[in-house]
Amino acid sequence: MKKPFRIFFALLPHITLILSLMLLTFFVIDLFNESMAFLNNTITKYLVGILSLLTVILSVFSVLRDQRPR
Amino acid sequence: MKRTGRLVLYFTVDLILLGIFLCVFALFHHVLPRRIGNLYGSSVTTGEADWSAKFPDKFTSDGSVVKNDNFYMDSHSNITLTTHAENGVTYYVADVYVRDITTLRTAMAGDVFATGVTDTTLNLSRKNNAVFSVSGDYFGVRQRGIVIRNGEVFRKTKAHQICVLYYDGTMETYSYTSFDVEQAIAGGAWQAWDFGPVLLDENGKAITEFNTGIAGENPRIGIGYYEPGHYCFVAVDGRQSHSRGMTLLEMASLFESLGCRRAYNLDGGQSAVMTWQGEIFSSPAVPGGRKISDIIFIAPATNSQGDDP
Repeated sequence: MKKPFRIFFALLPHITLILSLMLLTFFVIDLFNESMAFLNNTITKYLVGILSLLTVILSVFSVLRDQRPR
Repeated sequence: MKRTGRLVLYFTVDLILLGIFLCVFALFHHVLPRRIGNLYGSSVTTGEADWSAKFPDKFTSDGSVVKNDNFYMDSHSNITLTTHAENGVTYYVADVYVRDITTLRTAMAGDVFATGVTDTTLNLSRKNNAVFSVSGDYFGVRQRGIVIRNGEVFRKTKAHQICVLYYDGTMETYSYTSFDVEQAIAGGAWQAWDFGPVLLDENGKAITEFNTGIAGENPRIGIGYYEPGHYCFVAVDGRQSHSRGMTLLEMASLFESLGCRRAYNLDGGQSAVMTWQGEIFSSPAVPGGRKISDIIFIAPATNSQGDDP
């Protein structure tokens, strides 16, 4: 695998982890104060989109790695 | 051991990045001023009335001003302030008569409808030359919530229970589900606040159950309605040695005992401030009170006539 890909796949779990924790934080805040719209705003919608995309890539990568002959 | 150390380092870096990202998000979502402007134009002007004949002894007929430490009267407004201390709570009641509804006004920080733009109640009061003012519903801290101010419609998305003051002087309170913003606009909404909760039922009796996280003892601001042209405002000191603050149940009982037909809770806590003749009258939980988005105020007759809407 080329170096940029290696870096990307090394960083991928960390980015996914950070985004997930951010959204969990917004979720908890939203439970207490819905009207501040931490979940229902444009920035968060983009974050959800990015997280979903990264999760798909991470999952596919993980499945492919598991299927690789040892 | 080396592997464990590397894992700890990775997670530490992840947590630091998480903190940085949260701060950047909060900066854009919450702190940086974002001017929204008026997207919806004016409410329907209907049912405006002059209550000078209804309350003939409440206004001066020659344009003069009568005032002392607790009383103010001019040709358009009559305000009596009383201070009460009972059961470990200090609160202030402003009994307000207005000649027409445009005397009871609101003002926004920076004169713009925006999030992230705030000022103290006292500064907003002085900028608007208010005789009397209280802090409003702090609409700028939320992305949702009905905002109609001085007949202009700024935001139509509901967030909580809603209070509407109409051009005809009536004040109505609504549950989240029963409120229809288009109906309120067509009915001549002069002001609308979205904070709550509603404190009295349709018979003027105190509501006895509140399903909210702010029901405990707190500094508070509330608006009450007797009849068109006659209103009251209550400010409660709290979180201090001289005053513990009021629960919503106590606040509701107070408005019932005052004889109000409708009553509504506005933003309290550190926001709760009442000003009188250019000075802070209540005792806010923090010096000067929190910077907020808006105030409700009564201006001298010369300020309140003919400039708006």
